[in-house]
Amino acid sequence: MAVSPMVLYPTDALQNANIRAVSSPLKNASSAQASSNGTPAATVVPNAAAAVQSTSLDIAEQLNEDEKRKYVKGKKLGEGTYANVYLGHLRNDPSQLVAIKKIKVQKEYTEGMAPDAVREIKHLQELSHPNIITLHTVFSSKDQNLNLVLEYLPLGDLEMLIRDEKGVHYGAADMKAWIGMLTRAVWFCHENFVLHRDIKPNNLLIAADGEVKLADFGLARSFSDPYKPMTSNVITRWYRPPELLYGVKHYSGAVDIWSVGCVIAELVMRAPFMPGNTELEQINLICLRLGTPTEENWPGVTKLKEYTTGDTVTPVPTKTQYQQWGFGALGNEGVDLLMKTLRLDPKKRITAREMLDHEYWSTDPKPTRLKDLPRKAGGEEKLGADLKRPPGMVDEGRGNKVARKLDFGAAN
Amino acid sequence: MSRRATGPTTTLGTMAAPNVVPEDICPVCKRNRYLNSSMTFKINPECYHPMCSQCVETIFKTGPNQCPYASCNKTLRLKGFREAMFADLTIQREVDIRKRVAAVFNNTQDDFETLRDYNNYLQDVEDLTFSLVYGEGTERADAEAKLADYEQQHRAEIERNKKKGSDAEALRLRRQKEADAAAAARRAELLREEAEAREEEGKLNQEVMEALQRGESGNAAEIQARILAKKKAKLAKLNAEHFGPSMDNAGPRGISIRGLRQKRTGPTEDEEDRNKPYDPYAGVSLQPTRYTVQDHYENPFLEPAKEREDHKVGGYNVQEYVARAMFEAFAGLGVMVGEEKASEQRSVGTTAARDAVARNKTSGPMTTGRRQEVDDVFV
Amino acid sequence: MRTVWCLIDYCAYRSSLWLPTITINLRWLGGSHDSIPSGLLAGRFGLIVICFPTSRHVRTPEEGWCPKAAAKLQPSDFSAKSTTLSDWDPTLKEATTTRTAATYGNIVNMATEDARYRTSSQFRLWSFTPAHLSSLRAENNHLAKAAISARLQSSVPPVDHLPEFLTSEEELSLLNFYTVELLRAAAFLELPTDIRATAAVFLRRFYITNSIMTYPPTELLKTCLFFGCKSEGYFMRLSKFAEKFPNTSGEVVLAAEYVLCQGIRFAFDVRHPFRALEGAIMELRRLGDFDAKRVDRAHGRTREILKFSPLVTDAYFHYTPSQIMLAALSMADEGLVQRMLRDAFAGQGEAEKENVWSVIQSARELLEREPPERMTEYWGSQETNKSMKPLIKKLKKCRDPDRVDLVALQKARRQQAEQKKPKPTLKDDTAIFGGPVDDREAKRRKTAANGDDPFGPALG
Repeated sequence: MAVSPMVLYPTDALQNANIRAVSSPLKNASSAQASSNGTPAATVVPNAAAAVQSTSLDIAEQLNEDEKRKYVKGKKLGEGTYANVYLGHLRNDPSQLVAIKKIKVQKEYTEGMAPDAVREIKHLQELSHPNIITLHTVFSSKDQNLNLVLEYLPLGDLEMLIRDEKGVHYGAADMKAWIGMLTRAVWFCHENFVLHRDIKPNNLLIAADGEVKLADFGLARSFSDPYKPMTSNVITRWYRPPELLYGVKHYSGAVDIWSVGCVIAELVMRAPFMPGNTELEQINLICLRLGTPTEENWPGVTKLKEYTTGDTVTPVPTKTQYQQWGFGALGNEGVDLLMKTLRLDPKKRITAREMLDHEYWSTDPKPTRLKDLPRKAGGEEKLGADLKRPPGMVDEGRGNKVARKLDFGAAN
Repeated sequence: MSRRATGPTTTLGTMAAPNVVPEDICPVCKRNRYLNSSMTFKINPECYHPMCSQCVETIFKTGPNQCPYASCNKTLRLKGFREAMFADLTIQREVDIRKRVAAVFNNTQDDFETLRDYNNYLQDVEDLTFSLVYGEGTERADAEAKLADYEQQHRAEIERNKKKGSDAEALRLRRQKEADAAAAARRAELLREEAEAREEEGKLNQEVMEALQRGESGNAAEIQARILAKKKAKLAKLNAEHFGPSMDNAGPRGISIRGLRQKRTGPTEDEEDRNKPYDPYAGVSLQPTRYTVQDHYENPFLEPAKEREDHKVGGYNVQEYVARAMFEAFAGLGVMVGEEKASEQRSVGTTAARDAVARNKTSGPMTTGRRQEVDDVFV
Repeated sequence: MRTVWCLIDYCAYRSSLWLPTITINLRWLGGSHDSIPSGLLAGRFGLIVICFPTSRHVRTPEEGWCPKAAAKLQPSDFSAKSTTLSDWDPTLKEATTTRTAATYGNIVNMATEDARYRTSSQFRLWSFTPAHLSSLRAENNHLAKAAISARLQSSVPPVDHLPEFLTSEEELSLLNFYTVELLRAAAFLELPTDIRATAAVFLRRFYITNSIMTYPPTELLKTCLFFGCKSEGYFMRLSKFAEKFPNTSGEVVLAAEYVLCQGIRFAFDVRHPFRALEGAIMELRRLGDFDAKRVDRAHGRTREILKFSPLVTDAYFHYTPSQIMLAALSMADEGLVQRMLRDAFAGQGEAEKENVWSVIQSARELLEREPPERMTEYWGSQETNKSMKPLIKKLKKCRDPDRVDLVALQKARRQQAEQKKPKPTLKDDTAIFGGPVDDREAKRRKTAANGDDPFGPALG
């Protein structure tokens, strides 16, 4: 450190450039390798490798070590470009299983820790609810990879159940139970001022006891304060609400509610409700199924910059139409609830709390109890697949590779 | 007693409790399947001595009679005879006994206060069952008596449990049916494989037949005998090793079960569970206690957000911000860090720190080898 | 044969005289499946007891379920054979949701704003009593001294005499100094208030688990600012960020990012008192007992205080955001706070209110040590700069020589990780799971070391 290869800029130049009241803002922030004349330490040749191999642990390292030691990592459940997922267990109790998601260093992302990981850790650290995946702890391994110790959810995800038409049969009561758990999860997020922004069946994992758990908070963010824009490029396309497709920058929990509506519809139909291949197609599908957004049903919508519609103007479907499509399986109240989640105008869309207060829950059939819910084997591999997937993606082979593109500018 | 003389009982007598259902020759009348292709064998759970249905007919048709086996002096009735489900009669007997015991000791886990109580109960029942199955002489007699006693004393309860059980059974069957339906495809696959296997087996049989034709007689029977001997040895070993010792200290007569739940007169827990109204919030309430969020607050900062098109059309909800601001103003107000965290004051990183110190002591501060061992666990 | 192997070591079973598994299958035994005898025999002979799908009861770990047997089988073995994992293990639910269950319990029982705050990482990981905090700092100081001494003594040639190290108190003074520096830099970068505050809290948290002598604060404060932006969802381009600082490359800013994350224990959500103040002001306006001007004046003043005082003191460690906010508000106008508390604790007893009031008062005392005026009057003054100089000089003499250049340190760490990648035997894991080292993984690592990832670039 006696020899610094870097040139010291005069701090005064900065000070002059900045006419704010703060004096010399960075004068002390720039002195990392400034020469320190005649210090005794200067006789020591710096050796970063020695620091790496040093055996003494500072408190940060001790704490990390303690967290790390609590778990034993086992076999790999899944591998992806974004993360690898391992089965693990508590060191002092092998029966306590966990999933360890090891986030890979993204060589291509040169801005340090990936935003997905930052978001996921940030929000999962704060949210504790039976219907939200539990983050037990985070620790770093020696090769500077993040390890997220998550709740072990061995029974796959909702998508698996929806898709396995032969193996899994479910009825109105089962769906009600699942919808209930999903709604609770979203409600809890919103009560804690978190937007999930990627709700879809394969982010709804199933625990050993049948409990549905909302996972993958890689796109989550807290509610924005007024006048602070957010990016509209979130939520996997099939579940993306019209306001985001129209590119709005100020939105609310209503975006998640739309996704919930799409999931409910998918549960009933056992097929994606509006599987658009492009954003334009998605808008067309919405217009076709749920009606064309117009000034009448959504004041102001036509003035949105990215406003487009399908070729013909379709009216918003009536309850009878919903029933004809097969949503009658949800019962009268269920259809009503579904319609309210899929309202075009986000301002008129039902909120998570209103959903929980809906009569749907108190009408027959009563939601199936956890232990009686249909389930499916082979979920472990699926857990591996779900956790390793980068957010904003559905599995390949579903013909909809929605690579999420977040602009990492200020508009997040 | 002419009927008794029909079978060559003397030779049979040398056979200690035959424990397999014969395949071809009736041990009592020595009739051969070859001459009587419809021959079936029956047993009576009194003694499990197998004999052909014709013997059963002839010996017991007129009323209770003694078992034709020489060493056996059980009196049997026609009514008690049936076909054995298992070729291995030891198993058949054990299964029968277990069925009998289960019919009496038919409590379920729900009947107990704790899991441990239930386990204790299961243990007691298993001990009793064991005595019945493998016990000799007085041990078995004792066990029988205990079983009878218990049945006598708890008749009403047993009936109740039985009824409950059949309800649960019906439910189980229904679910089983569903599961079976789901597995239909898989089973079809299995069947196919099985057919293939059978074909293979057929080929093998043919080879045996050919071998026999070549004059290597007696082979098949020897193999069969070997298999039977093995099975016998297994059971003997099992009895001696695992179950023998623990049975020495057989408890006093009569069984008392501890930890049974107090019987409710009302609906069962399961029913109650079903009858409980569904709570969409699942018991989680986030209702604030120190404030109520109002529909309107005076806040010039928020007014434009309510009016601006870019906020309104996109669905931005000012009320969400308001709720958050109010929550944050009051959340944690009663959390006393100084008090609540006082107990947490301990040195951090205890284990790792201790290890690090130990390592430094033994190998000096600059040694690296041991550190890696620890860290590599998670590489 | 539809069997489920359960995690029961038969010997352990026998020795404790537990035999439920065989028993519970009685009903099944009554069925017509020829596989029963083998099931029974396996139970008696082998180490493993078989239970059948209809069985509801399996021993729980608390009752001594044997880890040895558990280790022999992987849970994947079960799910493959059984469709109802929770059927054979009703305890699994508890196993996987420990934390949730605990917190859930809290929520159910208390259902208040406080219970919710207690689930935050700020309370769980980053709240301490003053005594605890100073003991942590002392321990830190001690560890750093020991490590640096060892390093200096073992260098070739060895250092003649060890430098004088900073005391724990001196470290704290420097930390305060560098926190102010961070706030200055944040103001220069025109960052929003919450990001400034988050970055400052990150810096202070970091130096609880690390010593100033170990990692250079001048570098860390930049990393805190950069990562503070990230964690608040404000993604600034690294190059754009770095060019605002003299003599700073993006590499330098990123070098400490990982160390920082570890140091702050991956708690990225910092709860601030700013929005809380807005809430309190709305509430006060609603109560309507005060002159609008009075409320506005207090509002402005409190804002000033919150932007500075809590950040250069340990307020965030000892108090909750709402307490800090009310403490600052009481500095501006005590009457307003009294009024608010009266309403908030109406019907909840005077004791609770008094308790909160006294906490607010002690928070206020802490904040009053650093009123916002000190930013320019004290921290901006020549004298302070002069008084800090000896400390900075002292720091330069005693800091860890190997960690001054964070970029080199980061490179060394990466390098070490790469070297290790054909990984040595994983003692613990393989012994328990017996899994072979994944070939693909090894290959991937090799190619990754060569610089191209076979899995291609990350998705946009």
